[in-house]
Amino acid sequence: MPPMFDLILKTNGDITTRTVEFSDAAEAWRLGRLLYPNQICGVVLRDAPSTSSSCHR
Amino acid sequence: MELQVKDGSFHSAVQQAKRLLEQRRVLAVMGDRLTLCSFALASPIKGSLVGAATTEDEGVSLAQNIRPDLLICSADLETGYGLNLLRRVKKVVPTCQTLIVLVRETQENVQEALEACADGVIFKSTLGTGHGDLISALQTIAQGGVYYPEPIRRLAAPESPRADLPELIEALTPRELEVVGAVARGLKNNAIADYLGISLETVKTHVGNAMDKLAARDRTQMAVTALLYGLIDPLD
Repeated sequence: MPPMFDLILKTNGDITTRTVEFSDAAEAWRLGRLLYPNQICGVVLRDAPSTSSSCHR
Repeated sequence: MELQVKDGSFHSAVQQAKRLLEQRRVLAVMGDRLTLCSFALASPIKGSLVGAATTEDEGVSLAQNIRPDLLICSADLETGYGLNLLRRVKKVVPTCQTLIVLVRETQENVQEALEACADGVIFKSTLGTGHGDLISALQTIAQGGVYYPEPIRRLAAPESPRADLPELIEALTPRELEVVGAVARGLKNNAIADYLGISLETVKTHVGNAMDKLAARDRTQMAVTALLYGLIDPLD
């Protein structure tokens, strides 16, 4: 299953996130910048499910 | 400007550029013929170069035919405009990364490059100064990031942290800020460890401490909070 990334988008000073599946961070940035060219300001690999959440912390 | 060709850092830059470009398919489009020819003949570049041109239309045509994975172009072209070229190449080859060299250091130009989704922007005036701008740009782009160095970001859209946020009880250390910035660029912990030259356990400790200081439940909230406070810039 591809990893989940949160795209961090900034619009008029407010921040929202969109969760999407991408193969890697580079792809997440690429598509994030294509879809939200003026809003994308960060990409975060989501924490693993709670059973193994400590592995990303 | 004197190019320090005998300097060790110059040779180091040549080697780094060669390593960063060796698996790439590079299209170079530059308005100045001498610059383009010199670029095409440079040892780190020539093995990766799959096309070179001096005009916007030639660049688009080459991109359609050879489908490069990296476009390096100047804003000034013999005919056309580098930022228009960048937009057109992104349309025909969406996976192609783009690095543009701006001649005019104006807010308008930088903003235009941002809106054109350039993966990297550098000022021509920084080339050859020994600050490693080109190498940093190639490194960042190779990692899937976007490269807008500090002077360019200052010109683009200066932003202040939001005034309605409470003061942080404890400030983040420089290392914690580096780790949070890397998280907000999408890196996994083991990639952050490699990038910063520290152990995976140390990365986890920094992430945990940063989450506590920012009162964040998870990595995403940590990154969002750090962005709101103006502590990090993942576009760096």
